[in-house]
Amino acid sequence: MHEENEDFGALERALGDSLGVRSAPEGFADRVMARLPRKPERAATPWWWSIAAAVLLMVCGGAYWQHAQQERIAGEHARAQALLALRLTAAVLNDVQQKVVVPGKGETE
Amino acid sequence: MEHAEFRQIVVEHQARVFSIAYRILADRGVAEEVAQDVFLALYGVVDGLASADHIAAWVRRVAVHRATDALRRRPRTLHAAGQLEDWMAQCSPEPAASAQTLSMERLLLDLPAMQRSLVLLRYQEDLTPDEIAATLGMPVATVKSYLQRALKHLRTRASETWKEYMRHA
Amino acid sequence: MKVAAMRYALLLMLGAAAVMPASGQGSTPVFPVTLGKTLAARASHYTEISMDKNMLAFAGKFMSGGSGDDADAKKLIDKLDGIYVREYDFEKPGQYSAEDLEQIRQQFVGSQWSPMVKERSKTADGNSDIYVKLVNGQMQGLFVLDAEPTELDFVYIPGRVDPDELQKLGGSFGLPKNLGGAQGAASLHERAK
Repeated sequence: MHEENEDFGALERALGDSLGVRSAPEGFADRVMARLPRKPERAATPWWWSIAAAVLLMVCGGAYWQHAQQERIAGEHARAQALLALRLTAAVLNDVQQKVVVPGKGETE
Repeated sequence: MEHAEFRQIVVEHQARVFSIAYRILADRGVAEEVAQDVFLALYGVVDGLASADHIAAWVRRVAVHRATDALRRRPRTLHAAGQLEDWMAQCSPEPAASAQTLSMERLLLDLPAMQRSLVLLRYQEDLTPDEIAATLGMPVATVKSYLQRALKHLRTRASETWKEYMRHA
Repeated sequence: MKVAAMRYALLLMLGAAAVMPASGQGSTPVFPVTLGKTLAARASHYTEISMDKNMLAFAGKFMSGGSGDDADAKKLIDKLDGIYVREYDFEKPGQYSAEDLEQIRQQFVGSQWSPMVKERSKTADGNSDIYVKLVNGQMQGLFVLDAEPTELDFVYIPGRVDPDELQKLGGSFGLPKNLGGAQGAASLHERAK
């Protein structure tokens, strides 16, 4: 066990030493900037418009919004769990497949 | 966000994003496409990210997801022994990198995509398992479990030259 | 003593499983592994995800339906009665026995479940099994057992597992394109016939 831990320690050091970031290709930033969308012109809105909209939102939507927020948070969590379950399923099936397709590793029916 | 300010962000994170994409995909061309897409997506949300740390976490997460998505769309027959070397010979030519880096990158390709991503976040990005879990939205226990499995697989598959390197490390 | 208690619990589970189909009430399928608490107690790390049909439906409401992973996932989970994943990592081998695994496998003998993949390693690297449940020629469930000396994984997916959807998702979520195994391009659907 101690020897196993030493091996891991050396392996982890080696990983850290050899996986420094690689440079991005030359001109990368220029190519990204060239693909950015142009910002559209926005008509100026009166200063009082935002205040009026906020007051209206607070009056009409307070409690509903809070409930919707809570449901959204719960829903996002459920979505993340489902996607994680699918990814873990994929990983397990991948493990099984790798064992099956590598010749000589074992017998398969 | 003004373009000039965003460009600074691109320059700050481009190496990290490209490295993650490249080491998952092992193809410079596709890795650059993926990396560019990450920054284009970032541009749409950067105003809502609170701090530099949030931006870093965001680009790591999206780089991992987009690179693994791109990887899954590629043929899966490349990991059998013998085929991997042929395939890498066909990849875009590489600028010089150390022998150890190249060896380690080649070993990484033997790992399933999820384990490969976690190894990169742990040893390239130097994140703790808790930080990796927060970045990817995964349970910490799952992160630790997959990192353990990845280390076991890497150790099993390490070549004689790599073992020689570890002895002298 | 602990082993005897565990086996007693498994026998009870087997008895319950034998009665359930006769009840005809269509209740939620039971996850066919009752070792969970024992394994979790012995594991250095473990992950357990249990999502029944209601939870999957709720999750599906928050998946964007246009295209990409969310859309593919939603199409898949809409037909499922649940997804149950258990992964256990142990510090050292010997935390579960071959008999434990065999008792789990025995639940599928003589039932609507058919073994699709059985992998036994000569080098003690581990064993793997995939079972599918066939009802009137349709896949109604998938169970995967992947055992290695210090790792144990279970995946149980009850419900209408569509092999064509699974095959299509090969490439998404890392699902293998060829779930049929080493014999070439045989699809899950073909092997399940």
